[in-house]
Amino acid sequence: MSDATVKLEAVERGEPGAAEDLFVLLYAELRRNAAVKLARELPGQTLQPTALVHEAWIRLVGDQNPTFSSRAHFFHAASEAMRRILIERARRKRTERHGGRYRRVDLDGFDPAAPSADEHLLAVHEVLDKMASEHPAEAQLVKLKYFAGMTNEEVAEVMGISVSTVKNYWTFSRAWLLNEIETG
Amino acid sequence: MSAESNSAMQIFTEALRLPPEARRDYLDRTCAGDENLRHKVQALLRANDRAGRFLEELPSAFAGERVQQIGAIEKPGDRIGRYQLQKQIGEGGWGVVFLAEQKEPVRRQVALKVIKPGMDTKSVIARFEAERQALALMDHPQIAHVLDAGATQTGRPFFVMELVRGIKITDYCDQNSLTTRERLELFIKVCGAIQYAHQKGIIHRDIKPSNLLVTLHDGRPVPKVIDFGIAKATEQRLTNKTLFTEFTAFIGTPAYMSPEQAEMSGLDIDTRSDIYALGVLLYELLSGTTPFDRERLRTLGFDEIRRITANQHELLCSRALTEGLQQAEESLDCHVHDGFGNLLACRQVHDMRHVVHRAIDAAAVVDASFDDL
Repeated sequence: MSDATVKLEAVERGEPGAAEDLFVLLYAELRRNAAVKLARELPGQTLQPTALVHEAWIRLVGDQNPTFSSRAHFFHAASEAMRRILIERARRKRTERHGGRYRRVDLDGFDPAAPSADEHLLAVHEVLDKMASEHPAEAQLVKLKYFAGMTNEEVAEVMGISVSTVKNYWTFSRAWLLNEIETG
Repeated sequence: MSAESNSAMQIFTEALRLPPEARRDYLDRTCAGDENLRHKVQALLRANDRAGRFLEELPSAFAGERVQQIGAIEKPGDRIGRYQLQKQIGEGGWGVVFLAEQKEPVRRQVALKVIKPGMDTKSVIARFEAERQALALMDHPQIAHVLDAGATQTGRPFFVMELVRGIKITDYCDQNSLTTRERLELFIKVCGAIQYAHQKGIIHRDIKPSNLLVTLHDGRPVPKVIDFGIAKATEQRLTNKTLFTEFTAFIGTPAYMSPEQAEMSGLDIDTRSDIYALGVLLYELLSGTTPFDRERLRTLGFDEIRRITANQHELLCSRALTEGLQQAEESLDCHVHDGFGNLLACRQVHDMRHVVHRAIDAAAVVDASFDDL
């Protein structure tokens, strides 16, 4: 039985600290896999969080017959771990742009549109916890869709709701987040 | 979750299903008497109008950019091909060295050097392969063999070398309080190894104390030159599209860089760069410091380094070295009648390359008088 499955079962039993453990495991796994892929340095490469999350699922749990709620726990923890990785990276990039330590930059790959995507990322991150206290289901959806890049169908399956509900939640969430970011 | 939040969500969703003109009436009905709720929903509806593509573009996060490293990749316990990493034993601007165990065809311990990301692995390996034949033909007791080369799973080049358990030559001399004569003897042995390689057409390109390790054989110190073939393979080429702003990672070892290397004119570096580096080494062995203050070098910009190295370095080195030889002769308590004679005679010449050549000549003479190792 894999390490991840053990932790998932602990989460299901409601063991204290189990969710934290699961998060730590996934954080390490996702980060490591991202580094491995990035080291390959394929030209024009874009690395999608959703690919990393799904690979982690296959690698860590895959053929171990996880229960439905196990799957939910896994993807929630994975999306939180992905959130942290993305935020760390966006913050580091922001520091560097404002004159922090330099790194070698390949000008060919420079994308001037990228900064605003990062700004959105950081802004969403900052208000998301507040959203979770008022609208927990919607906030959970944002994490799965936005940080883990899951499709509507995948989110519906993990959360046990219909696809149309997912779409409604998503429309609401975008409005809520935008409103909060601009006026909050 | 409050009932109000829930209803805000539901009212919002329902309102969107209605045509815009019907929304006001709908809100009047559902939010009757609850101004708070109404405000909330209206704010949300307005935000929805403005939302456009907001968040529709998911963070692709790792797009179009090369990241150096997110934490260390290879670590003890990892397996790279038929080598198992055991522990880290060195680190530099170019990458990391591990003590590793080779599993097959024989079990033995080796030094495995993984080059940092950011290099074009294919061309590094190709350049190494081009020299591999020549390297394999080298068989000298003072030259450590490079056994293998390849790419890790993460796509980085690695080299496997004969494990040399020794300490760098300058440290060895200092820690063991070697006399001038003993230092010269070590130096001459190093020259012998380099000359041997030059005769085979191989240039080291990165001679410096950390590539010259001293081990003990039967109680006698023996220097071993490591990293032959690696400097050439991993040599960076400048392109106009790349910015190097992290100085030390790029420049390597400025204290030992010869004028032609500093020029980076793209001309082939020949044996003269090695000779130059040997001159700097001799200076350091005799005086305990490099001709140019390392700390000062680190703070200079790249252009200044080039200027200094190209114009003045050699001159200053030569002067300093021959002064060092003068002092060396004064401190020697025996009459020089072996290979040192010509070497010390250089103190009048003020040309460090000339000095080194004399040392190389001395190596040929002196070789015969040392024990076979």
